[in-house]
Amino acid sequence: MIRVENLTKEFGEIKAVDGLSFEVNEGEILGFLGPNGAGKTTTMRILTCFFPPTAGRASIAGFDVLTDSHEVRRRIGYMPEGVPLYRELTVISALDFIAQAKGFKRAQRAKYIDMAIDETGLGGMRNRIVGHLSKGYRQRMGLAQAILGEPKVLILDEPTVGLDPRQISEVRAMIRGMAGRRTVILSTHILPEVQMTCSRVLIINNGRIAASGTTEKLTTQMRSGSRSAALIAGPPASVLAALRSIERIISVEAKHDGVKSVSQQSTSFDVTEYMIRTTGSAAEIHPRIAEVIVGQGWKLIELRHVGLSLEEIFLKIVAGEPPQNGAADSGQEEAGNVA
Amino acid sequence: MWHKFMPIYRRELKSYFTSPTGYIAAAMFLFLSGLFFYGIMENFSELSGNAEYRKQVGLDHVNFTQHAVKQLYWSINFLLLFIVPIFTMRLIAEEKKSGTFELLTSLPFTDWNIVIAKYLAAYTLVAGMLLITVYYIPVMARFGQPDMSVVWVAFLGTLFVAAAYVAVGLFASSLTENQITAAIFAFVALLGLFLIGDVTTPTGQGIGRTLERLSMRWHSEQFTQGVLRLEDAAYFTIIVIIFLFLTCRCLELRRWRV
Repeated sequence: MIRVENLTKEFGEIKAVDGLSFEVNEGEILGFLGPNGAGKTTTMRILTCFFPPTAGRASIAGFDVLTDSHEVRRRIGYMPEGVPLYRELTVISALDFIAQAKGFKRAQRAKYIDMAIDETGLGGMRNRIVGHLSKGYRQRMGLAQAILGEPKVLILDEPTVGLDPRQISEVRAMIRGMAGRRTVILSTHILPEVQMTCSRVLIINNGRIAASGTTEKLTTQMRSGSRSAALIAGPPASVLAALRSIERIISVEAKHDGVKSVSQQSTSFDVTEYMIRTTGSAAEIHPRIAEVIVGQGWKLIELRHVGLSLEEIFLKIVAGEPPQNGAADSGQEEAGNVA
Repeated sequence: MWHKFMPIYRRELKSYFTSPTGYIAAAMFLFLSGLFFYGIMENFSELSGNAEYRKQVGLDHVNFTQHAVKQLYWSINFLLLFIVPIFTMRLIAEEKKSGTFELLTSLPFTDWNIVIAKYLAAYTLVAGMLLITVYYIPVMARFGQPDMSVVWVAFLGTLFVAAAYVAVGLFASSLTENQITAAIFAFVALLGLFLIGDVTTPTGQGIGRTLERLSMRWHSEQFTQGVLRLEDAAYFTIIVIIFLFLTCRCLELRRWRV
């Protein structure tokens, strides 16, 4: 539905978007994830024909944004960053303007406006002045404008910024409900948003794709090797040495703030929490750790698997740490170590 | 074709009627032009009734059309230099500032659709405001004997002059995100175009004459004197076309800004 090839946009010296290529299939919800200034808005502006790319091509439903911009714009609904609205109009007249702009006849307009109002829950607000609406309703208004006339493609730039948690979850639910019916690209720098609403993620940084794939796949791929936390009662220095000697353990750190001095009936040991990074899965490594610790006569109080959160994955990618097992090329193979 | 302009045109008109700026500008204009009208009428009655005063200002006889009609429409044309920028300042600047410009460009309009619809909306308002001043005409006819053909030519001229002013104002609004800056740009540009003939002594020849012929003042004075000429109408029409074209180019800049 959306095809972007080698898209580049330069502003003087700065390459805001640098050779971006991706595709979005019909009915997919693609999360465009990246820190501020990564090139998300620039890409969206190219897709909505605000300005042309410096190089490369982008097309929506087979129409090129440069040569068929009119056809492209008839097929998209766009909610720009910050949800700009005609604040002096009433809800109904602002929506009517969009419907007229999209070229619908009077009867169709009424139908589409009702549909958009129903879907976004603006029912009671029809005759209110847009500028007087609360932030949450203005956001719905932005969505209503975007979905008006059932466009095939929705482009939403940071749809939940500035909302309170309840409103955020409402907007996310609204977007999630569009899966399958509409093709959506949404941008955000909030990770859980992507996890909750999108079927696929594209992490971009400095105008380039840093990683892409389904949220599950990305998480799995980045968890190449897992992380475990162990609570062990024993002399810390010896425990560290013992753990480090175990095969396939990359690093062990004693968490100093996790030290609890626990006096047990017979012996008194410091209980320390250790963070262990391994290349193997928990199933392989945990029994080994237990064996070693118990063998030394220390006490293994807790041993649990700690996955990387999407947050950590994101930071890892954005910080330029190369993801292991090739997460960067949305490769077909699944990473081996599923914990 | 028409349906490409109507949505924006209607929306602009709605915005004018829901924000106070347009009302305030129109009220200011009607108040000031009414004040001028009153002053001009009173001055004329003084002139015609007082031979001593006539002698002081060096006139043997007075002519209502020459003194009242010409002055009134000249004043209106001059007053519009200040009023039109208030009407036009928000047209594009506000959309750029609030971000709705991005929304507007994502809708299936061309830049020309946007520019012409906005122009027509602002002009409709300004022309509507000018239509209100038509009531001066029966008042003048009641208290003097104006040459009605001069009156109508002068009024028609004002409509042409206002058309050019609105185009300049629209262009100024496309240059900035700040409405006040847009109004100042428009005012400075209009004043420059109005007075460009006055930078040299009008010698009736050479550069002075060329500049005079380029000025809006000279062409608008043809109308206020009751002279209806195609070239004056063409002059203002060309100003409109040039500035609408420049506005379009300016909107297009977003595409090529590097």
